[in-house]
Amino acid sequence: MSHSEVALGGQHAGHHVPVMEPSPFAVPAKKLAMWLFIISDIMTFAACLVAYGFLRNSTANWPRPFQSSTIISVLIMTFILMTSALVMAMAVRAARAGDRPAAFRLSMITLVAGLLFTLLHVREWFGMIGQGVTLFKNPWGTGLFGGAYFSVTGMELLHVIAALIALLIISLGYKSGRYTAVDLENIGLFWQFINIVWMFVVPLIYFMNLAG
Amino acid sequence: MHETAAPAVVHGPPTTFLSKHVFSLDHKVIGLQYYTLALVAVVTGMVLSWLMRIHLGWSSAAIPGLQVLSPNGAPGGVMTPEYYLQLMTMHATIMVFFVLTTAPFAAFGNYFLPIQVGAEDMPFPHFNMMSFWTTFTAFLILVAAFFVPDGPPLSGWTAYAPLSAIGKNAGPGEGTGQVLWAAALGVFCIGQLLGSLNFISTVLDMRTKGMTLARLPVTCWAWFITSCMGLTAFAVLMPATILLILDHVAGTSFFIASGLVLNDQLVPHSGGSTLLWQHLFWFFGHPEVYIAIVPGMGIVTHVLVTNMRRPMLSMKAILYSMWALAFLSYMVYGHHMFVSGMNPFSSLVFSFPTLMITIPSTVVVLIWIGSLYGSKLRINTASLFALGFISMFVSGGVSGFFLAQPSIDIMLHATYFVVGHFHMVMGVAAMFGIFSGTYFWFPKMTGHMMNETIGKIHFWLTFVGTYCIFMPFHYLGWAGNVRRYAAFTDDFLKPLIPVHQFITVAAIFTGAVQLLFIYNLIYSRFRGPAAPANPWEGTSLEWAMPSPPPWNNFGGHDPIVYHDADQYGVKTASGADYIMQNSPEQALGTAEGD
Amino acid sequence: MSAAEQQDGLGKYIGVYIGMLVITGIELLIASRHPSGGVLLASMLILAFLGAILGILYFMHLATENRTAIVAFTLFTVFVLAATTYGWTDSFRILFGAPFAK
Ligand code: HEM
Ligand SMILES: [Cu+2]
Repeated sequence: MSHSEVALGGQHAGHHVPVMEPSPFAVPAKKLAMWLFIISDIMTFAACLVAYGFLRNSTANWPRPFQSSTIISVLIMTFILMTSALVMAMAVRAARAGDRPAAFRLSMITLVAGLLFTLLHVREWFGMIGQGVTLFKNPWGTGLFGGAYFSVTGMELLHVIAALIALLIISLGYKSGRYTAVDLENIGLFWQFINIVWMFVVPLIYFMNLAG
Repeated sequence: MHETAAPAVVHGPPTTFLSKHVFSLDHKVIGLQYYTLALVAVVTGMVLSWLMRIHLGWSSAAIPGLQVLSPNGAPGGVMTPEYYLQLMTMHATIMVFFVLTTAPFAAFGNYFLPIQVGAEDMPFPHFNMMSFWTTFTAFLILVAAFFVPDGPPLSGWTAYAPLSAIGKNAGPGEGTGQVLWAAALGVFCIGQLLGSLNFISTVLDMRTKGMTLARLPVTCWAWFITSCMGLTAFAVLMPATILLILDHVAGTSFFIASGLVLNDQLVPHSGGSTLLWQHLFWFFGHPEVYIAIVPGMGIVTHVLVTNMRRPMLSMKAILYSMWALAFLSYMVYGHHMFVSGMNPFSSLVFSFPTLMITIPSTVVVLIWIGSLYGSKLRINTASLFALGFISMFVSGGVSGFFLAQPSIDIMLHATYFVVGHFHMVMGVAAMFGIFSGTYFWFPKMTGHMMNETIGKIHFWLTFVGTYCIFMPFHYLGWAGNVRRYAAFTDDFLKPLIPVHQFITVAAIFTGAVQLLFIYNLIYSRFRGPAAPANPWEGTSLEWAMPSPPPWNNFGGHDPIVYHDADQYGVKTASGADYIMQNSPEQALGTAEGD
Repeated sequence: MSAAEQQDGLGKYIGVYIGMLVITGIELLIASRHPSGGVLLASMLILAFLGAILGILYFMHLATENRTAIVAFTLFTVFVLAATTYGWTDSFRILFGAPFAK
């Protein structure tokens, strides 16, 4: 193949702009890096979930403690997170269309929703701890349950918190012009990814362990 | 139209000492930092291996000074069996992670990948800098294990549970030492992730005009493929190390089964699975061994093509084989677990792709040998080490055919046969790749030529020495010599001790020979004759710039590429037998006329 | 520069959003009837993957990326993910003893 057309680098005024071959994926480097990071992160979560599934499978009487009160709160959390994902997608859409104020407003709504999710998540954790669940014991059966529960949801929670901090920094920077629409799109990708992980956590951790 | 462009390079020339040498954003400096780290690590690892070897040959001999490092581990200078295992663990971990992963991939890759694609730097110089400093931190954490009261862990580089998981009662170093070990690897994974992101986006998005994928030098492909493996393999090791740490510090039992009795006491853990650790570890572990070797394959191909003065029989076949290795490396990891108590059906499932993986390995070797056949190879230290790589790769790879079959592996698994296998095919072969790359690229990196005479002596002594060390390991394995034993007191092992003594002498000899290399590095760095821009008459872009290159590589003028990197053995108007990638000149025919 | 073209309509986003919510609802419905372990796991995984595919294709815009990117990312990730499941059979063996070994 011989590409003769030339793709120009990002327009940094006054900077020497390299002349380059087009990317075979037509994905700019930053976005590519985010996708690659997400692929890597998928493997990290997969390893955690495989460990959980492996242990759950190999344990005869795995606890199934989740009552409808927990499930209702999980459903509310899911609703909030999915809505935030929708709003984030709309924010990215606005940013792509060049509507800075709207994009900023929408990403702030995402941020608030994310915070709410985090609070409910932490509340959920305290609820579990209050029932006597720790990393190595619980009232219902094998101690592995707590270890698996806290490490999988903890990984998710860590990601949420990191993403919220990044979202705050990037949205503010985006508003002031320091960051571009591509940057907002990138953090948007990460936020969507977190929503997707949650779509696995809910059925695998909660729904598979319903009481009754 | 989508934005296809990568960002313009984001940093200017360094201004302070710190920004030039320490927290540098320049991929070349970061490459050299990685190289230096690997050098420190390899010396540490080698000294550890000497200590182990002395003990294996003469198990009651006192090693003066060892009691200072560990009063409990080596009272009076004679190491305890446990301390032997602790040294072994550290030796392997340091070598696998901080030498074999760091030098061929991170050191040479950082230095030469952006140059070979014609870029000013990688797209994310800050990530790049962080990648080195996280790796460095990981090294410090690991080495710190020597200085905690119990010393480093004794569970081997594979850290099999439950030994690695139940804590300090399992043996010396299984408390704090093992936690430090796991933390070091977890941190190391982050460094590798950052590196892989940069490498992949450099290859995809930073190629200069004319550098189509088809024209990329083979080394770039090797680093690219390695990055793809690194991106996913280390991502699995990291959570595994976290779970291991939780088993230690938080009382979980992910990797500890119920009913374990230790020193007549029931271990207060229940429910976990020791096999789970092996699955997670080897899911990472097998791709890891290819992460160590694939960059070496790239370097060797690159060095050989340059010195043969003609293209490989089929560069495509080499590339596809490297891809096949990477692909298959995710499907074979269970061959390390044939005797673990894993489902025997799984053994079958893993055995088949393991035998398949010998096919691409063989294809690469055959292309190398077929291309070398009848070529007028220029003999220099770099090409000698490339030949040595092939020799080691074949000698060590052949034993893989045996190990790939569960029925044979059951006999050989816990013996020195495996030790011989992986030291030749991974340890020494990858080291030879590193040596070859060093002798080849040193002029570019420092602006000085290395001494070829010392280099050739270094090669021959190392080549003979490593065969003397690692070939007998195979015979020991056949004779039933168990691995990971600190001394051989059983009747059937006693007659083998002289073989061990021979190996020990060879190891100390070969290790001492490396002083020649270190001397050559240091002396040539300061006193070596000035290197021209293109001492080996190579075609790729690193030779199209001064030695050493300026901070912005091409001095602000992006090269334009017209050819692939295989334009050797051609007739040109100027009489040279090669055309550089950035030269618009067209070949007038092949020099040999065939 | 490529501002407005290839923008998905809001309608599509809302559709995806509702789809995700519905999937969660179906999951709960299935799980609350307590099917056997295998059925439960399979249906949870299939539905979760469906939701994930919706999210990846439309909220993360993979559907409108370049075709090579879609194919490369997807094949690579799915393959490596599949490779993590080799160990599954061993988890059953711990529970049921060693059916094949003896
Ligand atoms: C020709 C293809 C190869 C085959 C068929 C093969 C097969 C095997 C098998 C079956 C084992 C397990 C032996 C046991 O523990 O019982 C093994 C171990 C090992 N192989 Fe290979 N191998 C091949 C090439 C390589 C290469 C290229 C490398 C590294 C660059 C490598 C590195 C290792 C290492 C490090 C171990 C042992 C790890 C340990 O137990 O500590 N092998 N190999
Ligand atoms: Cu292997």
